[in-house]
Amino acid sequence: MDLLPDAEQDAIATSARALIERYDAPARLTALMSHDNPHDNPHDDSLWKQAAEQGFLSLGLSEHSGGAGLGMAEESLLFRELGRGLVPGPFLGTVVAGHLAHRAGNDALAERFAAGETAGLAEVDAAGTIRTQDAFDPAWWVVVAESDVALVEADSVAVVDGGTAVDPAVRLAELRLSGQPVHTLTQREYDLRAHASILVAAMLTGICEATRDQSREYVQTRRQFGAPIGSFQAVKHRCADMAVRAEALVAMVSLAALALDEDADDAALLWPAVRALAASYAITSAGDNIQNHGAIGYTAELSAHLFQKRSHSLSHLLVTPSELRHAVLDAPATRPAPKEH
Amino acid sequence: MDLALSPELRDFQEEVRTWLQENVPAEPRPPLSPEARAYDLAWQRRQYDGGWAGISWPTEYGGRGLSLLQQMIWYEEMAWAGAPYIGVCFVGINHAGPTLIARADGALKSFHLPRILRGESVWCQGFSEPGAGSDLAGLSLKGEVAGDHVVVNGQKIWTSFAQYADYQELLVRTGRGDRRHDGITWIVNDMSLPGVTVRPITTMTGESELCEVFYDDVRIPLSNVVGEIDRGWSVAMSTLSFERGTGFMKDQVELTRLVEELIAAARDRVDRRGRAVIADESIANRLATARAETAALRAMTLTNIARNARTDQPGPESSMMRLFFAELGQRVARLAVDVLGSESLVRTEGAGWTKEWHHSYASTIAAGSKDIQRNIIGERLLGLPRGR
Repeated sequence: MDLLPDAEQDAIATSARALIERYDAPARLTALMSHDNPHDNPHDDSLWKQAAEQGFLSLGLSEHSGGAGLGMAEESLLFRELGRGLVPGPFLGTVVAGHLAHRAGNDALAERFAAGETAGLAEVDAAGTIRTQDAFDPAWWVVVAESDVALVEADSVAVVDGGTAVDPAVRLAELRLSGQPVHTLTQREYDLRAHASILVAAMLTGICEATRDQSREYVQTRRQFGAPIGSFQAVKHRCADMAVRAEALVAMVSLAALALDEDADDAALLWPAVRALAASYAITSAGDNIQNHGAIGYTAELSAHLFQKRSHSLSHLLVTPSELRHAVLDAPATRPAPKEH
Repeated sequence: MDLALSPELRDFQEEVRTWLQENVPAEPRPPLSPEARAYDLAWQRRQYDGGWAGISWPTEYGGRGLSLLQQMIWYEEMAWAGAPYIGVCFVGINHAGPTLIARADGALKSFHLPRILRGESVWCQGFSEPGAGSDLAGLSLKGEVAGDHVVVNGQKIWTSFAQYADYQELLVRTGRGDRRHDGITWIVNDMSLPGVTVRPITTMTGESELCEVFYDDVRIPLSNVVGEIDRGWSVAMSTLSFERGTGFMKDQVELTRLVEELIAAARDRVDRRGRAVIADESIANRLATARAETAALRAMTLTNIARNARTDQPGPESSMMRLFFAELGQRVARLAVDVLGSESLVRTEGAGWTKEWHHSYASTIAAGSKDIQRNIIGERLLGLPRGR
């Protein structure tokens, strides 16, 4: 029973972070926003290829699906780095597509996703409208309906522009499907919402950590009234609260990831719980980070607004706040029972 | 990273569960009174007889010397078994005892430690003063060395259970020093000595769990000094490194259980208009958030234990969990009262949700106020500069 990453897990996180830092998504996104063409693609092949080569797209897939045979703990560590680094691109769609393919018995296809073939995530609403944030021209679409998920080839999908997003990292679109999905699974066969929600929570956790760290650095150097502003209690306490939120989420993402992997009794409570808290904490920390930076935080020049926008975009993926609250309240009360070694 | 327990730990868990099932008192703890003191000591004695006293104390001092994971299991099972609050035994088991173990000489240890474990003595803490709360180093209770005694004059305040205590861990200003932290002495006070007067303070809960203690020429033997004269601050600090976070498992489980109870209550109860309490969306929202946050607290507690297992010196990270716990506890206490509706206006004899709500105001004041905790997190964890 240990909720901290071991050395191998730390190594995955560290190497992902190094790759992502070199990529410098915030700088690319900021540059993108100053262009006149909002349709420039922020998603660059270079990071994607390296991520695929290092096995980051398939950490949780079994080895004969082309994966590393690890689990949700490792996937969460990767997605935490993706969130921290504000990385755009269809990582979530592609990772869940690999799982979907594997559970549908198509390991050959799962291997292709592991190798970097792209899949975007899309959702059908009650009116039948299919929306996505991933319109980067992926090769496949994972279409999530209320009680099933479908894997659809891109050439049977028409992509209709969904308007320019406030978040420069996403591409909004509506999809029109023609033709049949290659695979369809029920929620019982693959609870994609639960799986994806934990990975989204991991990204939001990375955002909480990044905003905490950006604030911490700034308030140590910015001086007013003859002192670093981090020495003023109001600022210091705001940063302390950012640290507490990040700590809570890091811990809870780990717990939820392990519980879902092991199909533990409390998984049904933990995935909506961490998803709900992560959305709330991330947007709060993103706001506090802007506040701590004063007027500079309000500009498009600093990356602070990008964390705010990413938190916003992520909060609208696959769930509504109301259904999360119901899921949390309706989950059965359990006494978490430890598994055998 | 894993959630599994080894077969040995599972066996241990079974052993703990069985013992608790057979030994947790059936009667609830009485409200604070001499009966409560007797109840607490009896429960401590029962644990001692069962071999469960001082679970985190080294075996050479009569403790069980359990590993961190075993301690975690013990506390978790205690909470699920509805074991009573440690009450007046708190300071002895969790504070004074560990301090004596860390810093006292053989005579003090061999006298006091067995009595604490056996539930034969009650301890209280003489730290805070009217002029020294968060700023503990500003304490001014005067101690003058006269022959082989320290003669103490002045006052302490906020001393929990002083009216039921036999001994006291007492911080006295015996000397001067360049820093205020110098010149402080940590000494064992015998509460029955002449010159010691205890005055209970009624708190907003209606109970008198806190006291003022007055010292009028109290003569304490020098042999009761722990560590050295004037070097008591480091003794007080040594207590902190004993706390490894396992005790929080009990608090965390109890809070989780309370939230489950509240959800059930909100489903069963109706408000004054006959409407189900849970139909109120704002209550339902707060319940959902509370349920999610108690799960987060569990995760933070486990993380803290894992961290402490990897290092000898607990770091400032635990302040985050403490702060989160205190504030979450307050939100839950307030939510409980809102679920209860106007029934919450009635004063209850035993623990009731309104009393717990009142009691919860103390949790962000005592043992490091929430503002101090935020300072610690900001300064020691984030490295932010001290302010003025």
